[in-house]
Amino acid sequence: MSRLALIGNPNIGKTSLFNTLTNSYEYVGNWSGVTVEKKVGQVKKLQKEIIDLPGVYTLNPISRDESVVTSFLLEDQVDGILNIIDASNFERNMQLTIDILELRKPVFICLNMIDVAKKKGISIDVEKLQRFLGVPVIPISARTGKGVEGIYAAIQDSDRTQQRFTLTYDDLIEEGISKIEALLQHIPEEQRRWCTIQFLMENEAVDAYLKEKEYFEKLVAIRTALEKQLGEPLNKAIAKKRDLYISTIYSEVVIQEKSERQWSEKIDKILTHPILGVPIFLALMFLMFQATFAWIGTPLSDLLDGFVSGTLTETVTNGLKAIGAAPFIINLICDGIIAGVGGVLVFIPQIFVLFFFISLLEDSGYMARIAVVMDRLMEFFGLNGKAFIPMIVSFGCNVPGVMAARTIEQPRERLLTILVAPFMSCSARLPVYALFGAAFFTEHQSLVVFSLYIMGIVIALIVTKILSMTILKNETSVFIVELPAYHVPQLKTLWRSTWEKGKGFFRKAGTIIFAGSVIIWLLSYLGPHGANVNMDESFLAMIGGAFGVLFIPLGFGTWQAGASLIAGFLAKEVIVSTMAIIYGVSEGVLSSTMTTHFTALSAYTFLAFVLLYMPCLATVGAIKRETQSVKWTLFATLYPFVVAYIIALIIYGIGNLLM
Amino acid sequence: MTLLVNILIGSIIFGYAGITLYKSIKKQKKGKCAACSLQKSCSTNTCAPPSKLKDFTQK
Repeated sequence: MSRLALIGNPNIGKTSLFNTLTNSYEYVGNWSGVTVEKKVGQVKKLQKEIIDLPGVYTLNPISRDESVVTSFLLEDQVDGILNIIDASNFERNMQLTIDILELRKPVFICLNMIDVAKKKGISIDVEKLQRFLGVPVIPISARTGKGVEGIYAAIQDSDRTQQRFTLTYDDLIEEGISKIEALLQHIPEEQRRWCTIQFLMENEAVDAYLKEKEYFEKLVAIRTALEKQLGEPLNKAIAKKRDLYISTIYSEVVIQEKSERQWSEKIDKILTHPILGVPIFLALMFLMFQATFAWIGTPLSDLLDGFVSGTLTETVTNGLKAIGAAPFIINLICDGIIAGVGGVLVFIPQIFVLFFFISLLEDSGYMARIAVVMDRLMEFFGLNGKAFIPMIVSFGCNVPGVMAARTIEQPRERLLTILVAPFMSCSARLPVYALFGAAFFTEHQSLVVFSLYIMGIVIALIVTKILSMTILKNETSVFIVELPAYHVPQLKTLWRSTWEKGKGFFRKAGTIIFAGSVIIWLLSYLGPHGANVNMDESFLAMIGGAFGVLFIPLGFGTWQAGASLIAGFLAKEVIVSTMAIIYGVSEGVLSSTMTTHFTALSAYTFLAFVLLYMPCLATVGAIKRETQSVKWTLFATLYPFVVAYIIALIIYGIGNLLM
Repeated sequence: MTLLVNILIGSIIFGYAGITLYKSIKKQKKGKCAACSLQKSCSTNTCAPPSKLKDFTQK
């Protein structure tokens, strides 16, 4: 056996188990649909490859992420399946387990979340379950890694422990199965029955797989005739039999004690309350920004800034002078690289604090509740609560946000979500807010940032409404989300999750922000009249000026703003780098220098514009790949500019009237 | 000697910046697959575009 697949329902700890088995770290979220693609890793102890597949409820696919699993099982070779099931949701999880057992590959059932089940008053007789299903059942805790040794042992011992699983359906169906099986000679014998049953259940992926075979017509004829004989849809008849089987097992192996009303239900009543839900969400968000800006992040960031613009710059300048570096090189390093890259890095504390709180909300199980709260609101705007999950993911970075839209079944809704997800304020925009916040809104920094985040959500909703009434007329689908259990987040998980989100900043600082800074500095150093020109006569001023004219009606029609907005397409943080280089001063003084070019009103307008104006290059790449359409990618890239312009115009106009 | 040091530092910085920019643009254009850390070990092709959406967007 060389390859294992990890399959289970959404949000039951597959990725946690994957990480434990492979000693790697993949993003884990306490909500459904975190894994939308499969991931491959190595289980060193077993010398095997393991594939983490997206969570599914059955092998009969409805959405894109579900079809990944079925096509994988059809097209790729696996020698064993780890089926992770949630002990606290035994009956529902068994639906998928039956699908998997019928595949007749070696199956290892990992019984997870026993602690959650216990709290619900549920306990499971593992021995009995093992006897019923004929495969090893291993109790584990995917979060802590407890019980993993049992998996290794079961796999190593697999030849002895596996039995062939057969669930016998009604006679008529069994007759049909035999007829079809006789035709499917090219499929390995042990998988023939599974393929037949899935075909009878009109599994789209299996249909597509069999369509190319010359006997496909015959198969369809058998299916249609059988359905006629039965007098009810085949998948219903099959499901009925399975339900009966599952409830038999349930009554034998699950012991349900009478439990008191769950405290989590009580909390849910408040957190997902139709009226209180949204204000609670907003209050938590505000608190998060307050911590990020006022309490923890900014004081740390100020310390870092003092170091970068003071000690670091001085030391580097002296060092460069000592080795006889030319003024050009000193300029390049101090005014270009240290100013540009350092200008972004000083905001790392704020970013990490924010990520920490986002991870806390995710891991505790609250984020999934927000989707429920938002469902009612979203429905009015032409989407459902499921679309809010990609939006929340977009708060971290728009790229995974766009990817997360894959969990949405309806193509129209998915496209709509992809189009509006970039309006969510990603963390790359945070340094821009922090820079302007410190310069113009010292007292109310967190309130300003909070308002921008809310603006992102509101604009996304309004645009959704407009698009769904015009070019993307919509029929909404139903939103079913499973509320994950609340748990007290573990410090290790929190730190990992925060670090995973935040480390991208360091990577970006060393790559694209570095490169962007060097180019910006060079463009500001060179001009039509040669090198080391006055910055107002540099190439950067010329390019920025041509673009900046557009923004005169918005109150920031300077070449500096124009140049930084162009550079921001590479990555939003480069806006800050550009400003730091252009104004040629350290972060501390930068704020006061900027007041000569911006007023508080035009600064806020600029921030709103930065929030909305264009997805960054990486997001455009993701949109292109997801939509597979140049037309829609162009649309997704350009229409936000129009939206941003209109909104900025409104803000600036109203602001001027009030002042 | 000083000139050599200057040329060396300059070419390292500009060279690195150029290569990085070229690489990131190329990578970002390709989208998630190229950016995936498991790209090397991922031997299969389910990272393919979502077909249903493709049918829809190309209508």
